[in-house]
Amino acid sequence: MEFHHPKRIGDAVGLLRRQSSLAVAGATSFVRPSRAAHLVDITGLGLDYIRADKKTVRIGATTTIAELEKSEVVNGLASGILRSACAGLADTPLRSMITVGGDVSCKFPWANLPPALLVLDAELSIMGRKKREVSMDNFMSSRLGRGEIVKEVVLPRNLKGRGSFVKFSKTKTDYSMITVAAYVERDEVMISQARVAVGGLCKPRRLKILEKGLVGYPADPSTVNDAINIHVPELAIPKTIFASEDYCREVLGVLLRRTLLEVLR
Amino acid sequence: MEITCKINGEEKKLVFEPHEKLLHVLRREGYFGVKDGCSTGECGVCTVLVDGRPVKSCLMFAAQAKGKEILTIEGLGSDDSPHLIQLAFSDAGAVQCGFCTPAMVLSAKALIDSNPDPSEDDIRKALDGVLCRCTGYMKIIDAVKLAARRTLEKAEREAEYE
Repeated sequence: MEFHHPKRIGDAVGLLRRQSSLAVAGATSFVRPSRAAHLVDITGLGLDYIRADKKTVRIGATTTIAELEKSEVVNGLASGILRSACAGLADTPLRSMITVGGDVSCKFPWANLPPALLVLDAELSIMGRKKREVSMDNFMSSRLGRGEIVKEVVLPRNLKGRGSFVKFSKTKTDYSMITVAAYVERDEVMISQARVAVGGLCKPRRLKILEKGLVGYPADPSTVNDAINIHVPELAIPKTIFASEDYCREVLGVLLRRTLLEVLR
Repeated sequence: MEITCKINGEEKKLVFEPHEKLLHVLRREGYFGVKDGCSTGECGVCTVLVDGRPVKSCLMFAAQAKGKEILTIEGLGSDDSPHLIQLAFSDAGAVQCGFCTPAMVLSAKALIDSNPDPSEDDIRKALDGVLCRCTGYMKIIDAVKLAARRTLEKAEREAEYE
């Protein structure tokens, strides 16, 4: 095995295009010995930044969760949904290691940022031989090409609605068993936009069928209850080792109700 | 491979295999205050400060310490001249078996350096990455409160002399 410390993005991409090459940032996913022939440390590329302009907030891939949690501009987005996602993410020493890019691109079911970024309609900027942009939604159902890594997360800044994130786990710092994130915009008394995402039980993904039961309906608790009562019994709940299907469905319904009532408050 | 970094204020050359984690390299170099508990990032007893931030050294690759400043418990104080936080742990009776103590003390140092007047919630959050096997968290929280108060008092006394 060889360990590399590239200083330029072009050099990092070149190293990552080699056979059996892996990017390292926070290193917290390297619990078991890695069989990669090349480890490429991407923390020297200057990607630890949070930059805001009028329309967007750009978060560099090697920004740590601890740094993200402290950012005022990020905490001001959609009633602080990302602060909640960060606060419930692992523990203090791990939050000062885990990076935004790692939490997003490892696609672990228990990751907290992906559900929140899904409902914020985030875009990812990918670097490789060519630059490309991809929506968070499409990113979760596709794969990175050889040599590609996430360069930054791009969030819209003019979010008018409210967001909420909740994590369910055995202890506060343990892996998330179920995560739910919601973002809702209202137009007078009606819900004009709704995005809901779930993780923990599965790779984080949008619940578009539930969103359809919210948009265009009155922004009140009965809409939330109806949508949950109709759609949650229909959802496919994957088998897990920690609880029965009935239990997971019950808890998922409760968490969805809590987050949606919170954003409609 | 070979890197240089600063450990407890001293310039050091470290030689290791590229796959090795910082924890194992530090222990091989004789820093036995860095404890080897679970080696999987769960228990936090291997916590050291890297550029002032608490990190779990069992997960960080030793290669990533290149050019960084590392503080282990050996660099904080000694038997003859313990650090204020170490004295507070002793005075508050916050040490039972002692296995988690270096990580608790270093976590407390990172907290007090960035937040001189922490609330009990801030303290609980700062220690949430380190498990105590003796299950004696109350005394540890008391010790950090005491250490924070004494740090503030010391800063005030020093300000008066100036």
